[in-house]
Amino acid sequence: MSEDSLDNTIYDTVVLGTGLVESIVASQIAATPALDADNDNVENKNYLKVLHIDRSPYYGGTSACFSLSAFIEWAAKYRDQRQTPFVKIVFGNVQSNDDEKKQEQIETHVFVIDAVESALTNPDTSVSSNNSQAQTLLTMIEPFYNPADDLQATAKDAAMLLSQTTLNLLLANDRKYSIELAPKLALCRGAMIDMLIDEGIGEYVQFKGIEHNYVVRGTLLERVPETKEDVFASTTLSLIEKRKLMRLLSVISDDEQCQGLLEEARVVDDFKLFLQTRFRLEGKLLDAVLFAVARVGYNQTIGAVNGCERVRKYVRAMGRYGRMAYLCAMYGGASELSQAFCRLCAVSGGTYILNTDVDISKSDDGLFDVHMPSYGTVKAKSIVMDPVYDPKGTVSSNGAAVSRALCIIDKPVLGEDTSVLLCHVDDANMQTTSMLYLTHATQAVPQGQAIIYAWSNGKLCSKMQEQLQKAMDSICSQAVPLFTAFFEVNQIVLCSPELYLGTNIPDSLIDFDSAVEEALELSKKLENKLAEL
Amino acid sequence: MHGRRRELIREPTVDEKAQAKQRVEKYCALNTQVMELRARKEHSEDALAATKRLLELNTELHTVWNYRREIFAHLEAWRVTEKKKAMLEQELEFLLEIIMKNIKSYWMWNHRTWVLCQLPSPSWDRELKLVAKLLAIDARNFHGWDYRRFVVSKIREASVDPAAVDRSEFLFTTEQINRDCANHSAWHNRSKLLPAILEELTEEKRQEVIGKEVDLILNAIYTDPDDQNAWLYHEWLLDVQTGADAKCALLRNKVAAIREFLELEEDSKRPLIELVDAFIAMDDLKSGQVSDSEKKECFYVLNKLKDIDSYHIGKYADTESTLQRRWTEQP
Repeated sequence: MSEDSLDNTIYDTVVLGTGLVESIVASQIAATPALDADNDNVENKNYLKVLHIDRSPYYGGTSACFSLSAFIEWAAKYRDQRQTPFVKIVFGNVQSNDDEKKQEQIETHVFVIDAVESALTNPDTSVSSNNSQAQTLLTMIEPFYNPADDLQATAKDAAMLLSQTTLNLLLANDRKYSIELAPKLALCRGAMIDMLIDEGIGEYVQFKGIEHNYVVRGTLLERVPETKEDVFASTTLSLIEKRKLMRLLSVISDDEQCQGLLEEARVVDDFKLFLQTRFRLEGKLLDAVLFAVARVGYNQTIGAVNGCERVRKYVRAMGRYGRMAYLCAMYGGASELSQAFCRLCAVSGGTYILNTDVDISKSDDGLFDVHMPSYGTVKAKSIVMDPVYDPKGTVSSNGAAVSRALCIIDKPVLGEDTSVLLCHVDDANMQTTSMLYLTHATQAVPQGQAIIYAWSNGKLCSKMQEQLQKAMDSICSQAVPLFTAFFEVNQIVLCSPELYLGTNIPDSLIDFDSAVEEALELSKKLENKLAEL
Repeated sequence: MHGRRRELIREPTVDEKAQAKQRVEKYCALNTQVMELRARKEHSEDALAATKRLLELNTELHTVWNYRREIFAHLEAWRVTEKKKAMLEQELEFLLEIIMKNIKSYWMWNHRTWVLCQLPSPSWDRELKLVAKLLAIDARNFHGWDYRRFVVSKIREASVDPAAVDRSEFLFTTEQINRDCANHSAWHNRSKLLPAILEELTEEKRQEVIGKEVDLILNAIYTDPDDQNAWLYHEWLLDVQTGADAKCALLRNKVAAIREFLELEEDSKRPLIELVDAFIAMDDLKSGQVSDSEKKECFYVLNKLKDIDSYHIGKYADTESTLQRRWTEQP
């Protein structure tokens, strides 16, 4: 894109950040007819002009997906320090055959990257520190950019050497990793899937079904029976439990009975109580419905109507594309979907610029000035942004944050070619942790390995870290954790929310529907704003 | 096939009608030709080819299947063992092609059976695999199940350990039932195999196996109490028992299980009906089996059923009056 063609253009909307919500909004606006008075009768309608910018050299923003080296680069270079203050990376020991030794070594291979290595493109805000851990990692990665015959060990002590060995081993298959910052699934029948179908962009993304849904307590995995066949064949449910579950499933699946149920549920504020009194669910059956199906947190209380609707959504999703309720995209769901929506926006006339710094200010003529170092300044009527683009943005004071962890293991412990959803329940700490186990089946890792994601609402204090580690350990105690990472994602609040429209960080819910809802709401607000001008 | 939606039929276009007319004319011509050949008792290779073309279009012409078998028997090559074998193998291939068009043709399955019986050493294992595939597509196709029973009986005959064959078949029905507990054909097949399985066991083992069967039935009942299969299978289990005492014992267990179920769901229609039937059955077997309070319970349940299931109020009233006559009449 040359400088000349951008100047003198007034964009209806400039969107900053190519995260999922931003991308959906961009595609919606680009397909909205312009609000000119004489537009309706024109053969070739004018549509709203959208300029979509991302300062990183990749798509996806806070939902991006990376190869292993790119993930380390993100941790070292591209993450926003307010949003993610630090990233903790732990390397596993691949050499020792002794399990204890493996554990021992792991303690020393910890890198806490708390400073961004090099300024993104603005030299004034660069933070450089000597001996920064990030530098070490980058130095480790460097040989792979310029392949050389010998790999000189740059590590000075044995511990570093071991880390480097592990990293070298992993980087040999670097491009086969698709590490997501915010993994999510698509309900087979839901807002996201419907949108993909309506917009005709379904074929840009490939999906695989989520084969199993488990509740984990201690190290015990209990599969959630989802259909009549599952219930019949289950060997862990008692007869009475089977009956209760079947009754719930049949009432929820039947439209008429479900209506009646929702009427009853209207007066009950606590879904858990409703399940206990109306369906007499208890013990592991209650767990399965509450945690694994409705995906309610341990200490979370939701209304009975909300709960029933969640169960209904889940049950209705089954059978559309197969036995499963959820689909998992290949090569990283949120990232692939962002790209699909960006493509849609581009086809509708949107313009894309990646890898450029951008600076926004309100101009005297009532419009916004959007300045990019290599492209000059353009004008915009409205701005939608991922709040990390606001240099004056601050971390949300109500503590809205999601803590995330991921672990690449050397054995596919839950199955070689499957994708599994789990919920870890910890009674002692009253916590539930959502987990996702992915394999080569969705191109998340090379064949023979697996990746586990764990996440939970809240800041990444040491207790939270222990919690996430415990959750991941519960299913992979037999495998070597090759690469583990922990980071938190804070919601950044815009300094001037009356001027700009900001998006939220990916939440801790398992499916994409909340992102679609948020995007559609934003699009509406934006359209109203533009109409007022 | 089961579980498939019927496709809406729309009015054919002019082109389609013309094409259909052509196909019908071709078919009629072929049919006439084959029938003429048959009347002339022609048993040549050409006649064989003509019957093949006709049967490809319509597998239901049993006369033509018969004719085809006649032709085979009269061919020169038939007398040479090797050539006969080759022809039969080819015939199996032919049948395999047309089976997919129409799985429910009696005559085609019959012909396949004939071919296999003609072969000196047919591969029953291959046949078993074929049937397994078919049942994977349509688990309730009785042609498939019938054929499977035929193949298994042949395997059994040739086997050194017929009991092992029975057991593996039994396991197959377990798999099918687990896949779909409403699969009547699977339950039915299981009921056919059970006597053979029970025969070779000690009394203690028998009780164990029957206990497991009851568990399976209860499993199905708790999953879907309105599905008939499990209840019918229980009836059948009763028949396998010898002696009124053994039967009454089984019925007592049934009553206990139903009572437990009703604690959970007191207005479930089918279990309530089965409860009354169980008492009636016990009474039929041996007098004095049903206590007075249980008789009262029956009347209470029947009244309840009249409320819950008003469609069949006549039936319940009828049962009620029969019982009244039976139980208030003292000899």
